[in-house]
Amino acid sequence: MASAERSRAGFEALLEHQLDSLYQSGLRLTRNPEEAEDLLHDTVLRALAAYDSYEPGTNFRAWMFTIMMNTFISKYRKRMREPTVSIEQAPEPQAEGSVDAQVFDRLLSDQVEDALRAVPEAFRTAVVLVDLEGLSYREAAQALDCPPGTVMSRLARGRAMLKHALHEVAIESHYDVR
Amino acid sequence: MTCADFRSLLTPWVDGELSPRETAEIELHLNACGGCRHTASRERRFVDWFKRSASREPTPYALRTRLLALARGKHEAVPIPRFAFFSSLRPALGTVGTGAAILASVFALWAFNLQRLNRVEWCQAFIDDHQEGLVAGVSLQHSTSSPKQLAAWFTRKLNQAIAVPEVSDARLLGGRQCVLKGHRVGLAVYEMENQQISLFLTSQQQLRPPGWTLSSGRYHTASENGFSLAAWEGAGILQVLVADLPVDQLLKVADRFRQAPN
Repeated sequence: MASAERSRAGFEALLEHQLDSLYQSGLRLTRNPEEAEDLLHDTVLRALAAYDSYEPGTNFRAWMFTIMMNTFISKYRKRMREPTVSIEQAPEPQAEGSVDAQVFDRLLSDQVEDALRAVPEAFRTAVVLVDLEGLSYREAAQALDCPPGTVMSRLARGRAMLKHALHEVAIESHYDVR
Repeated sequence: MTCADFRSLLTPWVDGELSPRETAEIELHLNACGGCRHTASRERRFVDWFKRSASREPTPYALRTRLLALARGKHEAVPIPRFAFFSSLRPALGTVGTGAAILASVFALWAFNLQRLNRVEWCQAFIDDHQEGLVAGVSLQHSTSSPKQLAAWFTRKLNQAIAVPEVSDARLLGGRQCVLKGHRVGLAVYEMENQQISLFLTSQQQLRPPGWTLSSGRYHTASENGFSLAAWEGAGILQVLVADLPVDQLLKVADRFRQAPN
């Protein structure tokens, strides 16, 4: 029907604004670029098929994240591959001369992502949805199909682990944690 | 409010998720308690720092292009010619009435010329048809929840005696006929745990891919892009199950379909 064509065009326009958020979250969830691509692909397909159920004017972003989390939980959680090698494990470059002078300079954001990758999935998911994607507890609870209280406790645990892992990093980046 | 109370509310307080009353009580406590004030400030600053410091990277360009094309209803570009038929077919489905659209799609599928039917293309044909059903929402030609009724409809439409399985936790939605490699195939669509499952059924011998022996009790499986396929033969009927599941889960579902009464 003509209306199906119109509404599908609306879907693409809405999706375009959320794509980067969705992809990056997918990457943080699956910890693997190939899986993240598959996850996004399946998420978009499912969202397109379910687009009739989206109420125009309501929170599209939260709706998309719900679909993505649904897809992730039903399909990908069990078959996640090992996380890709973090920068920390990459061999340090060999240099001539003094060994002492090696300073392994790493981007702050890489260290933050590494720490996040090491957080167990349940807590990591809450941190991704609330802290990084700005969903409210209620929206995150809907996406994860759990009570808001669970979101809160997982978030607290995730943050505690990140604080523990990034304590030194935060200090070095001129943020005083004392 | 005690310090222990405050600590238990620290997380939602940082996120502004507390009620105005709870927030006011916390403000009161913080005014009076230096230790908690320090804890609160540290937590807030860490969370803000963390949010700032996480990477913000755009989606890789090729992936972005593919996903947006998918959202427009077009498949990804693949070298197999028949995809051109699908993507040019879609606008036609949008503007023509349902009955005519189904005729148009049957005709277009008939017009496909899959010269060589190797196993990959064979699997792809079924998976694509299942995927089309999900994305385009092609309506069923015969809606029924009764497997016997659908089997009777298949007998009339396809001139094939095909039994439709009844599976306890899969709801039959109905069926339609498909044309794959120029042969008519019955499709029964089920819903199981909010997922659409396609079961293709045919007694046509010619639709078996060359080199595949479907001895009873054995499955042939394939997967592509997250969709999986399991094929088996029962009582002379080729059955192909396609769903949006990993292969191991699909095989469990396939077991139930194979053993179901019909």
